[in-house]
Amino acid sequence: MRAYEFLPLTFAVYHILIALSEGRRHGYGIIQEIEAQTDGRLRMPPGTLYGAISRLVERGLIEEIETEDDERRRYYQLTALGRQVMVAEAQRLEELVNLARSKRVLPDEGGQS
Amino acid sequence: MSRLYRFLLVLYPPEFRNKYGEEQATVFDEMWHRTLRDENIFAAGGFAIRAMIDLFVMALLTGDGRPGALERFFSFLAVLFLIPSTIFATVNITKYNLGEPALYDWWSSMGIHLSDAVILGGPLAAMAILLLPLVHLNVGSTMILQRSSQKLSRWSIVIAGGSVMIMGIFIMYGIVENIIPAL
Repeated sequence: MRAYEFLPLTFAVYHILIALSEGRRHGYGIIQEIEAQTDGRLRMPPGTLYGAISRLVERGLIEEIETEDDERRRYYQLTALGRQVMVAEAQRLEELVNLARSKRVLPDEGGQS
Repeated sequence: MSRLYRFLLVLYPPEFRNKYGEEQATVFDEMWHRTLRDENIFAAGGFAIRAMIDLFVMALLTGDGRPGALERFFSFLAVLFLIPSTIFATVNITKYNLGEPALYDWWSSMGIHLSDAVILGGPLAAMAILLLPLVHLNVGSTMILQRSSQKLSRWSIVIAGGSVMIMGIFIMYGIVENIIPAL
């Protein structure tokens, strides 16, 4: 399955993939990372997190990994497909932002509108 | 609070609960205690309410088309609304046909005029309860019919059919007793 077939991603899924982009994390670690990357604006509730995780595991975008760090926790990491999907979504968003800039909806990167 | 959250996990389908339930409850526990420690009891209460609403919605959305515990809960709730209407309808019709004063007359003599609400309100509430999750599920979906058929359990169909039947009986009864004689 090609990466673009998964697009567009939901807000929650995109943030989870980005949170896992720097390495493995457990569920609570993903929530903390999302809070940090959104300056505390997004506190993902556990139900949404695990609903998304179960779908991502099922579709092969993330995988569980065995670890001896903490038996109570399960760790997750991106798969190669998951990384491709994350990059494809970032590129899609970048194209949308560039489109907005070209139409002067947003100021350009230099700050000029 | 953590115990209540853990208990509510029963609303998820068993496969999901067995795989992620324990971990999800642990994460809730950690977030609840952190909010309580870093903020205050009101913030923690707000978080707990949001987390439980999230749990209800996600339990409803999680699954593979088979009726989950939450759907069975909605069916049960709808039955509770149907019971008073059914009893009222049965007793009223039986008493009326035996030539005795109907319950409506007895209630009215007591100054209570709840009959219409009981007769049509019960089945209507039951229908609303059954349809509410479907409406929620279909928001944003382009496959409305497919999703509806997947999520309507046999129980829901039986209860919805029962609601329509009771409403139909009373509408017909009203027509026969009130409108036809007037013609």
